[in-house]
Amino acid sequence: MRLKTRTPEVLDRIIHERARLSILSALAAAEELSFPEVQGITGLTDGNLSVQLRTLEAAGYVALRKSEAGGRSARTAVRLTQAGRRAFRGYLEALRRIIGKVRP
Amino acid sequence: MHPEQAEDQLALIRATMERTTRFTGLPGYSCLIAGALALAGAGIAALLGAEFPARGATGGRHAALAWIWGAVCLAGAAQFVVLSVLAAARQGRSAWSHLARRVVVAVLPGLYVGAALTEFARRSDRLDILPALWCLGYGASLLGLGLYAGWKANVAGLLFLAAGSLALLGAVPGGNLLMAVAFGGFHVLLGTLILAGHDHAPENPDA
Repeated sequence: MRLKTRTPEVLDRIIHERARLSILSALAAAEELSFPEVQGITGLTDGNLSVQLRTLEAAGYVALRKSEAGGRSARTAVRLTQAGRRAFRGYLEALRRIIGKVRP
Repeated sequence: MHPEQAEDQLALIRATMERTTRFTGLPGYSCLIAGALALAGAGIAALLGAEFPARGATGGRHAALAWIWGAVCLAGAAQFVVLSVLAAARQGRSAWSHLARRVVVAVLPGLYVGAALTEFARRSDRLDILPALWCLGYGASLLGLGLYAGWKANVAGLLFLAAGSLALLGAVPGGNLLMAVAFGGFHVLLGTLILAGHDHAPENPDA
């Protein structure tokens, strides 16, 4: 006879880090955001935001798009990919399950 | 992971998403200037004796009215755009952000209805109800703005709707007096509320 056991929730470690979680949360609420907009919302420094975006891009969770802005330096726009949206949703569900386990 | 940590993560997600959809690009000074322009317009109209004609009345200074309120409308819109762009540049962000685009989409229906009803009133020779119609259209636009800008825009929007409705029903005077009270007074109130408010700095996940 097999016993039913509770499996521990597996959280996506890429999303779990708070800086990256705040970036994905902002992108989940907007179709596309510019680099300064993400910075303004999350409060991350230039360097930290660049590093976190590269990590998220390598995981396939965000897509970066550079565009020339009227002869000035390139502007970077960031958006969630389908994989990123799925992963974010999965992370949210995992959090809710963890909270739900202790609620009556 | 402990449930408390999960709650913290959810709170961070909620706060960040709210911040992403909160429009803070409405300059308080711009509302004060818009109010001052409307009060000046009402004053000039009174000096020139250009009042919105009563229903069925003949004559009147229609051209002067159109020039005065057309100029107030254009000057108000122009200073709003310029001040918004300057405020955004000072904060190092684009005035044409994803949120600004959403706000424009939210306010356009009210402005369109106001414009369409203006044309209807003009063709029906009902210039007397124009201030009330403008209040209703503008109030609806402000409520659209309030979806992103919060309660201050909602309060102003509701005041415009109330003033327009009461004027349309004849419960309060219309004409230049309504323009002064609504487009002058309510804008000054909105600007004062915005300037008196304090926005909290975003939580820094670096910390």
